[in-house]
Amino acid sequence: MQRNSIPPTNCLLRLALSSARAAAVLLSLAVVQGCGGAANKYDSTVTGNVLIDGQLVDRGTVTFHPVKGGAPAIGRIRPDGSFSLRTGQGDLRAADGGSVPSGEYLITVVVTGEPVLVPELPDSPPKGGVRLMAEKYATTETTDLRRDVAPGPNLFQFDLEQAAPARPAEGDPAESADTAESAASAVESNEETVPEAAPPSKEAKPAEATEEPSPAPDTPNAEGIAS
Amino acid sequence: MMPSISIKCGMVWMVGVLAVTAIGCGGTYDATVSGAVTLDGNQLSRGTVAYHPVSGGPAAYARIGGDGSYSVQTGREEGLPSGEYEVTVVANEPPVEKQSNLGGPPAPGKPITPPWYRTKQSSGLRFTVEAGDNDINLELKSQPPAGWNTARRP
Repeated sequence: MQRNSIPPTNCLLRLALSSARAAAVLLSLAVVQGCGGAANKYDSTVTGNVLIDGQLVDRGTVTFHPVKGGAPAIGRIRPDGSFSLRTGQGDLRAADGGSVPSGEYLITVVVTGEPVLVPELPDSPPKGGVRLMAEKYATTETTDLRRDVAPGPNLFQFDLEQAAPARPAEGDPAESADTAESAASAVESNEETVPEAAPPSKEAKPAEATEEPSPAPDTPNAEGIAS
Repeated sequence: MMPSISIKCGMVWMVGVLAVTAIGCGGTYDATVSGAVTLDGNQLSRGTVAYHPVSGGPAAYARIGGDGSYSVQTGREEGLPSGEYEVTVVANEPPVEKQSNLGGPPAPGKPITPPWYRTKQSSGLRFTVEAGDNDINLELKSQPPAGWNTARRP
């Protein structure tokens, strides 16, 4: 109402009069874009992509663990293979509104396949999909992903190794073990700790057999069962 | 008279806001790339396209849609900086889920795209991305490029 009373002859005058509002709007724009004040320790934004063997992945989670300690920042991998980090809840209104402190981070990534419905339990939620990335990326102790997050926007891309393919079947190792036993019994003495394997090889190597089997079965298991 | 001035005022306002938004954090890219991917003339319906800047820096990626089209984005944002790019394409069949493997990861799907398109050194796909919208169709061939050693596994 007040604006109408002012003669609209001079644009600059009107702009000057509304400068307070302008400043407020522009400031909020800058904050929303993640340019925050220098005093803010959450001075970085991180987005990126996750690929396995050159292909963008569908789902999973990227976690940035500060090397110096502190709260990890988490980003869910979206169906387009991209992610953006937020610490805690971040700004839930804006997809990229989350911010993290700059610094060194160890990164863990878990990429999962499609959730699997359990037919026996139709009312229960689907089981989480299998992990598709190499297992080393799952923990801070084993991951080899380390990045320096600079103040301001950061873009990181992780092209991961895929998981080792599952073993063909459960029956195969047993069969191969049988064939390995006959070959190994002549070479290795470790087979004798296995009770089934012991009788034939004991005859072959009586000296080692008497020394080795006695400590092996007794030490760890006995304590566990007794208590 | 009065309406035209207030429209002007509005425009001054908008230009100011747009300028600030655009300058902002430098988040927007000056070019976009989209197109179609074919292998021997047949549409691909899955896979990933990557645009690696020749001058270095992060790559821009696109997922190939069911209709064979792609549109690259950098991180979460549409587009990429204009410049010279080397392009790679990787597409595999979906992994085969085996019921007998409890908890184990599925074996990776068979590759659809020939192996030389997997690395920028061997793909032979190099494009100049101009500022603005770019339409770049990727026409892949199953015929190995000259000098490709079929015995070599990348």
